[in-house]
Amino acid sequence: MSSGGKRDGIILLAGMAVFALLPLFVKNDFYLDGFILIFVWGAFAGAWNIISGYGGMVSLGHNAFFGIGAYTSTLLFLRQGVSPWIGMWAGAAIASALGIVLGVICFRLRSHYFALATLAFGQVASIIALNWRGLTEGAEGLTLPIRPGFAKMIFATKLGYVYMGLGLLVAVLLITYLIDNSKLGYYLVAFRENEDAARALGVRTGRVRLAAMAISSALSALIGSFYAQYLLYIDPSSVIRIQIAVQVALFAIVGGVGTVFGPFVGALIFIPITIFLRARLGTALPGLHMVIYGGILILVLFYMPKGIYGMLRERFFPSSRIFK
Amino acid sequence: MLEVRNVSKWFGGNPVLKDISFEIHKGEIVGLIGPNGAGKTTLFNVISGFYRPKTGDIFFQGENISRLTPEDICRRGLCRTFQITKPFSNLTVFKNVVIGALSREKGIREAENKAEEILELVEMTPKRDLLGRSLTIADRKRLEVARALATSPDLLLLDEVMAGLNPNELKEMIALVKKLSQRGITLFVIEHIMTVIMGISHRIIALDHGEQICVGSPCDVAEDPKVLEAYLGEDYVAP
Amino acid sequence: MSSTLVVQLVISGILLGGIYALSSIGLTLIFGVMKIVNFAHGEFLMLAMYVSFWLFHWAHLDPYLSMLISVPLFFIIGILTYKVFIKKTIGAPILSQIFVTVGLSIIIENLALLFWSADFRTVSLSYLSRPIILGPFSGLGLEEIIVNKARLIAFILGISLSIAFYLFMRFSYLGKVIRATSQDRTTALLMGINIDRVYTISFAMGILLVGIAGALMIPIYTVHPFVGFEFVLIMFVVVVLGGMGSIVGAVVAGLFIGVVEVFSGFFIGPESKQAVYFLVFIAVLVLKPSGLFGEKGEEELERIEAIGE
Repeated sequence: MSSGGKRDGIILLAGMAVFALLPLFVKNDFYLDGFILIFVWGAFAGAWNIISGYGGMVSLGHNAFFGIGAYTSTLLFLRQGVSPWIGMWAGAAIASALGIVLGVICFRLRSHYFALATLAFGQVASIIALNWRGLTEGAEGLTLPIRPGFAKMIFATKLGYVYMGLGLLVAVLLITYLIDNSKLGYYLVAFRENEDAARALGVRTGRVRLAAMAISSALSALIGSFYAQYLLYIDPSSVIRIQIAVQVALFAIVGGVGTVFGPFVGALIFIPITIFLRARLGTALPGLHMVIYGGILILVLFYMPKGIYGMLRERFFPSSRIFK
Repeated sequence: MLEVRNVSKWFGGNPVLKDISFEIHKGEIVGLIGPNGAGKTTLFNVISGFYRPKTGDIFFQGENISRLTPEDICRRGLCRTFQITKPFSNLTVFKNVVIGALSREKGIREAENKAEEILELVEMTPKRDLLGRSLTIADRKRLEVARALATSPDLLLLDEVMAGLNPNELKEMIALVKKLSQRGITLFVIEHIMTVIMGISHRIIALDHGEQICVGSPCDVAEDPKVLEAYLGEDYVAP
Repeated sequence: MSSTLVVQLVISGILLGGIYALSSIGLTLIFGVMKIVNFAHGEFLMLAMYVSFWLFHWAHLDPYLSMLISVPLFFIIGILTYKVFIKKTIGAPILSQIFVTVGLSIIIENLALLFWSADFRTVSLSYLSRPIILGPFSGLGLEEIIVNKARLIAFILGISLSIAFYLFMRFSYLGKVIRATSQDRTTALLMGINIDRVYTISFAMGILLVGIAGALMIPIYTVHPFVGFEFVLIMFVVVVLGGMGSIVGAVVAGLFIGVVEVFSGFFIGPESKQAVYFLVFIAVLVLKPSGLFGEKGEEELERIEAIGE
């Protein structure tokens, strides 16, 4: 057990070293973008996983939280001159509050109904972003002036974004790991597996899920804020449209829901596929990468219901305390 | 310890529990019997907070619990098992029990120690790493008891934990129930197997069609004409 | 607000609602019988619109006649979809139940994009181009009421088919078998009903209905790969409002949502009208999740045990 623990620790450190050091040797901005996207989507899928993977409450509305983060920090900066470092927390607070309201209203709904309710929530958020032009400029979007400065969270080089993205990803992984090893994690899983049994054993299932929702939505918003700083231009289609909610779920499922590292593995698989196809095909075959996404999703659901990481873990690290 | 006072429960227009009143004292084993559909499991659901009674109150250690949720009732020391077992299917036996233990223990480590202890007590230690869904009926029933036990209950409601067991498993389960009683846990037990329930219970409550037809010692209940009628039909009752 | 305007808006709304009703019945049928939300339902509608479009474009076949081809075609597509994809999700974890059809919708939508590009395509029929003008009804104080022919045809056919389908479910042997299965699968199984066949036929009929809807809609709406998503959201609203699994509910809710859409489109603006019926949607889920005609408790029951267990 302890030697296995040591082995797992070494593997983890080696993996982290690769992601921390490799970008230093990559000179091509195109590939550095790849790293940033892997980190952003890995972190976002991880945030989704907290309520939908551990808690089993499948959300199709996480685009709303992501978009709220992006719009809040951007608008606070553009209109009030508030640093995104502060604005991102404002976004997290709003997203978290909305997440709790959504939870209070919808947690008594079961499975499909909850998914549909969150879909409606996400869609309303995206309609608001598109049509409340006085606030969001609608489809024209908002542009952040490109004047780098740490206080403005605008970095002169891609590497700045790479390391901030990595920081967010590590934070999400760490929080998930802590949840996995805490009462909250055990209780979420108990609820997911059988609500009646959980309640009979003293699990306050409502409170537990609200906590998970609050954490999940706040993290999604923080990542959304960072993504806006990276793009420096946001519009409804880049940060809040409903496809974002589907994509984040897809990454998490293919990687492995209800695990610490699964969602990140999902992003690690999909982002390179996307980049490769974009590099090879350009705009020649629109939609092809989405066809592949959908195909992989269905194949994984049928033949690897625990996800790719979930399967690898069962095979190689069945009782690891690190690879959860 | 537990006092049920004038409790009734309706499903739609049908009364399923009618004016039930009884007490359970500390240290007792009380049996709950009655033919199918008598309302036994419904009574358990009402006591454990899964259903709200239509009228009446339930007091547990002096506190009115009839409006509390199941989770809060459990945390006060009243836990139940399910007749149709509800294991956490994708979790190991050990983790199932840890979740039960968390309601009273501070942290994961303490809960794990407690779970080890409980598994030892119910003699499931060799099966600790099996998944909930891979268990046999007997082990599922045993897991139900183990999980409930992990919440450190003062009163434990056992819903047909002996149904579907072979004679050997049955003997083990009876021994376990007796062991729990010796450890000071008060037990309220639904059981169909008459010889078993009559053998282990200090007192018996009999239900029929939602009515409490009889309360008393096993001997009294066994000879009560209303009980015989409920089980066998009136033709069999000696005049 | 003049009374003419009100009548005009109500008529437009009801005509629109007839289309929503027909396209939603399949979705509610599939949910009612197998407790699965078909997230790809909109994409099947989109495919149906394309089929009628291409038949018109290449073979000059009138869209209303193309139904003769669409009906058997979509029945077969439904059977194949069930056998290959849906069957595996029955009794599977909730994640599979939701995301297999989500995956299917992604694939169909993007295959359409791949093969047929994002171009907007329309069918315009000369004999439908001029609207019917009713009135003026001076006795009622109403001025002229304009009725779009294509919408009127879609409404009449849509509602007649909905009623026919309802009668079929109510009185035919097969309809009774389907209803029995949706009410209590285990008992149906014990009565010797072949559940797998019932599921196959129900799913195929659900897809067939959307095949018809597509043919009725192509003279009215432009088709593009993403049109299915727009419509499926409305269908979800209709189905939840009417009560998942209820055919009568889907028809009533379809008409209601049609009227709501026309009024909110007129008074609030076409961009925000979606927000209005989503608020209706969330309100229904909060206040009466079983919908107007749904079986109470359905939204909280859904505990279907896996066959293998």
